[in-house]
Amino acid sequence: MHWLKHPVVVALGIAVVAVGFGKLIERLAAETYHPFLYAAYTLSFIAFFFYLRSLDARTAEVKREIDSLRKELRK
Amino acid sequence: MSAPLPNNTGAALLYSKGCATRFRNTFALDLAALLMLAYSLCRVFLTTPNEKMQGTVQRIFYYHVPFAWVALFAFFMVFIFSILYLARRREWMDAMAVSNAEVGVFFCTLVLITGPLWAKPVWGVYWDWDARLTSTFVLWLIYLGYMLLRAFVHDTHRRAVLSAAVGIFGFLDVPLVYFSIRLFNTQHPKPVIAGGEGSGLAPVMRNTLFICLIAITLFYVCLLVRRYRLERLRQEAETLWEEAGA
Repeated sequence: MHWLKHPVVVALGIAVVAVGFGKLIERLAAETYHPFLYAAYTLSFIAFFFYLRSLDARTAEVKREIDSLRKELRK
Repeated sequence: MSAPLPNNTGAALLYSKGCATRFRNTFALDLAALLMLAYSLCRVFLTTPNEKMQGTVQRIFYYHVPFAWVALFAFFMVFIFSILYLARRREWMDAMAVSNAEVGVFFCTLVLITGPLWAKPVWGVYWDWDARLTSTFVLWLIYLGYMLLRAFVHDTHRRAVLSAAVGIFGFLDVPLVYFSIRLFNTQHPKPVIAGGEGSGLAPVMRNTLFICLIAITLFYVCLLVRRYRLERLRQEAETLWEEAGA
């Protein structure tokens, strides 16, 4: 199931959720919105997600590096 | 530099407790940002009326403008912490400067994505080289240069001093971005907040804008906390590398 974590799959997942959310909102607001409006908000939230993920991944990597350095220094 | 942890249960418990406390604090902040973002989306799409001239696409404004405000604020923070670093030479000030620069570039990128998506249906083109758009693009390039500089200079102190200099001089473009629509005739609209006579927003639109600004600012703080923590860990790793090499 590693393919589920692939960035393209995640981005498509967010886009599909955004379209579903958009359709729900259109029904609630009884109005049709411009596609570029959806594009702007969907791209913003995809960027939020990937930047947060990149920060967490980089932090985990540096933590691992620190742990291995400490082990080496203790020897 | 923090000393290696003694290998006993007490210290390990203390360390894990510290991590857990930090996690809880971040969790509260993340939750607040998430709830505000959800509320802001409901305001944007459900309760705020359409703008008469531009129709539904004008709703991009409610995130585009806060992205720009937060990006400019982050670059202002780079300027402040760069000056402080040159005056006091504390590592955490350099970490704050670089964290703000990266988060600022992130929000500036979003401004440069959402802006053209708004421009195309309204102006008929994605981009126009007017004073506001060009100065914003230059601002983005300046802080990308700041990030590149940090990637290519390996000496810690030299890197911090050079990037502080770029952080201070790069900020000169921020007032230019802010005043460009006041000083020049631009394709970009004139300011609607603090824009003088004839400017302004309907109260419901203004309230939505401020709710979005609070949501995006909270999200900026979430990102900044994470990025700052990462930079402090990197500084710690660099000190350990120096120690291992000595």
